[in-house]
Formats: sequence, structure tokens, C-alpha cells
Amino acid sequence: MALKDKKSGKTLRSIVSRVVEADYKLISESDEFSFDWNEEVENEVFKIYLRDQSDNILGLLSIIDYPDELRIHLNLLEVGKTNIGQTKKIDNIAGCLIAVACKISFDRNYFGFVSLKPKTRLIPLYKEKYGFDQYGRLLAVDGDSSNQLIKKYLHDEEE
Amino acid sequence: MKKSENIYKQLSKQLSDDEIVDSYVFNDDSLSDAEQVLADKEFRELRMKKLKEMTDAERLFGNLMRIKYRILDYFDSAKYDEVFSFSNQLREYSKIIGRSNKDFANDLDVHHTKLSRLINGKDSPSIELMYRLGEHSKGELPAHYWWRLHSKELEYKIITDLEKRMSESQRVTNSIQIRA
Repeated sequence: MALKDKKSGKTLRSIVSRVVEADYKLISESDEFSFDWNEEVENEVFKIYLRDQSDNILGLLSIIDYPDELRIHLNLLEVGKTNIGQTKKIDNIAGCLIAVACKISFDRNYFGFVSLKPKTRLIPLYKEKYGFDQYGRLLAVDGDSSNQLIKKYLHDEEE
Repeated sequence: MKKSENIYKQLSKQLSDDEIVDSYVFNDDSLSDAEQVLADKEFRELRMKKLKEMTDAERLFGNLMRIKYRILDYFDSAKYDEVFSFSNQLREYSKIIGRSNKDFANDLDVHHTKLSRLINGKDSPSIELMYRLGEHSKGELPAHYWWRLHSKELEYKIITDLEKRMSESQRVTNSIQIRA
């Protein structure tokens, strides 16, 4: 997956997997995450980490499946503090996690449809950065836009 | 103060909006319950409209991406899975394109009985066919994907076909002498 070392620009191999019960304790004890991830336990929660560093979670993603709307909703996404802002060491963590949701959406026959419900003032930035479109008060990607995120962040065939 | 507003205020102390978007997604909860019901209704209507208005080409694209990314995930795994045999994936592909076996065979310039044999795993694919499948899928399932599906299957068969290994080993004489 296309995580990048910010300094060298080098691609870093990473793994995304489901968060298991034991992870929640590690997450809540860690200083890396501010949100209460125990509140997400009923949802599908994923973690991303570098290959061979499974105990160092770089980011977390919580999604909700709405099968009657053929939709995956991004309920919560958080990048670990070490990789936020100007001092971050690894780039693209959030992009990779959003792309994971897009891939799940294709896999479940939802045509790549993924929604999120951001604060109004952040809407233009999510649209610009990830190609989301507005659906009333929510944002969503699907089809080719969703596929572009997967290609950019998960399956860069040029590499 | 609403939870999301509180979170945003906390994050804004240290991060720009751009940096927040670069690192977080969290739900806005600034709407009242009544406003939220309306917003959800509006969203649902838009989503259903979008689904209703989807073209055949858009549906095909979605199905094709589903197959593609499942295949790519399979390549990342070390194990052979019969679901991803060449013949089973060719069957999947033939299902989603919504064309008759005869039309699909015609597209690929092969006889329809040959295509049936390939789909049923009774015949082995040629490299030429793999190139044609790559072209047929507009490059989304390129020739080398088909080759890898086939080669993983061959590898599995070579490893597990003990009978064949035994019968072939009986035909070998004077094998090399080595010591670890």
C-alpha cells in the first residue's frame, strides 16, 4: 500500500487488518489516539501498520455498512499523532484507509459508494483532496472516483 | 456544545483545516434531531435516485472492479484457492459482461465450444487468449493477471499431484549426487 516515508519519498509496505479485542486495550492505553475507539466496537474497525510492525498502529478506520442503500459509511478515521501535521513521518495514512473503504464497497457490490458526514466548513477540503461529491449534507464517492482512490493509495500499478 | 464542534475546536488549536482533513474523518452532529431526520431522508433519496439512474456501463464497471480487486488480493496470498482458478474467474467475467457464450466467444475470436471448455476447466488457456481477455476488459484484467491465475493453479497442481510425480520420477535415471 502506498504509504510514503515523508523524508525519502520511499513507498512503505503496509498491512490493513480488522481490529481484534486485544487491540482496543492497546489503543486506549496509547497516546497516539484521541478518540474513544471503544465506542466503535459494534462497527467494522480496521487498523493499518507497517509490515513487521503490527504492534505499532498508524491509523484506525471505523465503517458502517448500510446494505439497503448499498453504501459504506466512514464513521470515524484517525491517524496516530506521530503522523499528523507538519512533523509527520509517514504520508497517505488517511488516504489509504479511505481507499480501503472504497475497496470494501466494490467488494460488497455497492459500486464503490462510500459516504461521510463532515463538518460543513471541512466539506470543500474533502471534496478537493479525495474527490468526494455532495449528497445533501453528506459527501460520497463512487464508481470511477472511488476507483481512483484505490489506485492512488492501494494499488499503484506504476510502482 | 456538540461533540463534533468540541473535537474540531480541540484539533484546530494545533492543526489547520487541511491537516485535519489529512488525518481525520468524524461525523458532524451539529444538526438538531429533526434536521438530521430531514438530512438523512434527503441523502437516502439522492442515493436511491443515483442507483436507479445507473447505466449498464456503470454497473459493469462496479462489477469489474469487484473482480479485479478480489484477484489482486488473491495474488497477495500465498495459498491456491479454487475460486480463483482461471476457469472460475473466466466464468465470473463472462457473467458480468452480460453477453451470450456465443457472442463472447466471437468477441475473443475463439469457437464457442472452446470457450465452454475453458470455462468448465476442460481446456488450458493459451497466452494469446490471455492477451485477448486483457483487451476485452479494456486493460482492467490484463493478460498477466490471467497468466498469474493460471500459473498459481499450475503450481498447486504440480505440488499436489503425487501420482504424476511418482510416475515421472520412475522414468528418471542417473540423477545428480548432492550432499547438504
